[in-house]
Amino acid sequence: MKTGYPQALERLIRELSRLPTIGRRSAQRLAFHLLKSPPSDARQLADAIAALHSGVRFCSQCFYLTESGLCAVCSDPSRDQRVICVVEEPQDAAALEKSGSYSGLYHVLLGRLSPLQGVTPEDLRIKELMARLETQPRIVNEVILATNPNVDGDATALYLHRLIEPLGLRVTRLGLGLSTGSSLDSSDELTLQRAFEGRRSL
Amino acid sequence: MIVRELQIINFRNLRSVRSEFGPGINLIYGANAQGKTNLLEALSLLVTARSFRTSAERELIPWVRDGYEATLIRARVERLGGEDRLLMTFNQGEKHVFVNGTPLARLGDLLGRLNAVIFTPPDLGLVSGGPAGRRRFLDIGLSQTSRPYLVHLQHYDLALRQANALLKQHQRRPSLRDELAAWHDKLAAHGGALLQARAAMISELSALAGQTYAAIAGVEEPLRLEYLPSPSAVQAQPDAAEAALREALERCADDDMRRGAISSGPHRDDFRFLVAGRDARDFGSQGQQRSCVLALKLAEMRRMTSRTGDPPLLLLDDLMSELDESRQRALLASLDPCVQTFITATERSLVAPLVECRGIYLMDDGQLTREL
Ligand SMILES: Nc1ncnc2c1ncn2[C@@H]1O[C@H](COP(=O)(O)OP(=O)(O)O)[C@@H](O)[C@H]1O
Ligand SMILES: [Mg+2]
Ligand SMILES: [Zn+2]
Repeated sequence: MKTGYPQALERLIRELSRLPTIGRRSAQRLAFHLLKSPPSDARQLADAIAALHSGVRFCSQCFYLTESGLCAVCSDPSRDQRVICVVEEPQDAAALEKSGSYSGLYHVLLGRLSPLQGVTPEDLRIKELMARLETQPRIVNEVILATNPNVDGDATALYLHRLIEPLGLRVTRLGLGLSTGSSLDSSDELTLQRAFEGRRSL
Repeated sequence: MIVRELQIINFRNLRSVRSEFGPGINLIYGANAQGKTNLLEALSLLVTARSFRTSAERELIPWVRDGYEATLIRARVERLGGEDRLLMTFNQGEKHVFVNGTPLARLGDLLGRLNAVIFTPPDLGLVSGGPAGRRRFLDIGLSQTSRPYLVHLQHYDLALRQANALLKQHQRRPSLRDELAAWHDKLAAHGGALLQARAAMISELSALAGQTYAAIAGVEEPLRLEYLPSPSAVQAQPDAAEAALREALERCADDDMRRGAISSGPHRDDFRFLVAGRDARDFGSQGQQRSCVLALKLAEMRRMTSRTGDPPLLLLDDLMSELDESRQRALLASLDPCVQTFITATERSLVAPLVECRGIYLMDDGQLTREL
């Protein structure tokens, strides 16, 4: 019979290894690191994890991050209400915010289409995007599709384009300046600024 | 291109090989199972980033691992206008490639640094075997001479796997048609580029192979290559490949949804060898089929040279034991002294007296010793 670790340790390793990019070996390393550190370190980490969901929510309108209700972007009256920029993840919106080159609103899909990983349109916040566009047709006049310039991101943008086109809005695609296969999240600020300036109609 | 120096550590039965090589013909001879093919395989990893023998990397790691830390393949390559130091290391799991000391973000970025035409005994079945082998031949050549081709190939492959997954797993979804259209778009854009590049390559190879076939076969028969693209409409109009593929994807969408797989596109391509107008696969003798392969490989050498301006390496593995005497002679006679050629054989006498070798090496139980 294999002698396993004590249950508390085994449980931590199992939970850690469920995180993306963490395999069992990395999980073990992290768990042993915590075991050797003062108990207060482990408690601080546990508190931070426990507070995550009560302290961070997705904006009820655009699914960007917020502490409650509407996010800082949606509740800022100086933002241009006529433009919605659609991104895959909150990090992408954060990268665009940091670049300071965009003053409209966002819509975060919380993912991208990927049949291989079982991600379908229903798994993304597409229904909510369409509801926003259909209920505010006079206000919004442009949708910028800023999914990542790679195969999956492009396919997601193409799918959205087909859905949005019949509404008669201007649909543009962020892309110029971004190298294919890259992601918004890892692009520098100047590149993002140029990507906005060079967006093209679909 | 010339590999001036090659070092291999812990690759299959090669514990530690380090040697210098010159331009022209380098013969590596030795009895069976000594490590000759292993050496060419290691070298070719610096060409295509993957093995021509296996997709399972752990097979490349020595069986006996006392003291094993990592596998390392290093080469100093003289190319047009400069020199590159290429280094690949891996152990179980991580693989890293460095060019002149700088790590490459993606393995694929290695392609085009060290070009080679690789010719091993299984390639002799290229005419009689299935279409996947012929597509691989096209992809390996084009990926070395065209960076955009490689990118399109990688993107097409992902889009294809996504579309097939959608068709297989999500057949009953109401929005299937709209989702499929999005992937169709990616398939057409990348697939169109592949089709067009392959059409151009095959017409170029057809002309080049046609010039040498008669000398290799020893009979005055014309050889021509014919591209059999999917969709077939591309054959008549390669420039409109993207539109033709888009149209075919649309047209077959209902069938594809029923079958659960994308049925048209470059992943279904093929090409054939027409000797005196007849398909060598169905009507050619084994000798004719092998002459076709030889002509094809030599044509690919010339195509790559004219594309890049720098002759690629030629790696010839153990072909002397596979070819009959007249074809052995034809192959050796066609070797160009300006091209760095690595040729393996079980005996020195199979090659050395027939062509001028600039270097002769003995491979014995994983140890390489220079004799000339
Ligand atoms: N992973 C490995 N570790 C150690 N030896 C290996 C490994 N893979 C293959 N070999 C050995 O390599 C030899 C085959 O080498 P190869 O280059 O194919 O021979 P040849 O000289 O006939 O071309 C065999 O002796 C085989 O046992
Ligand atoms: Mg061999
Ligand atoms: Zn919001």
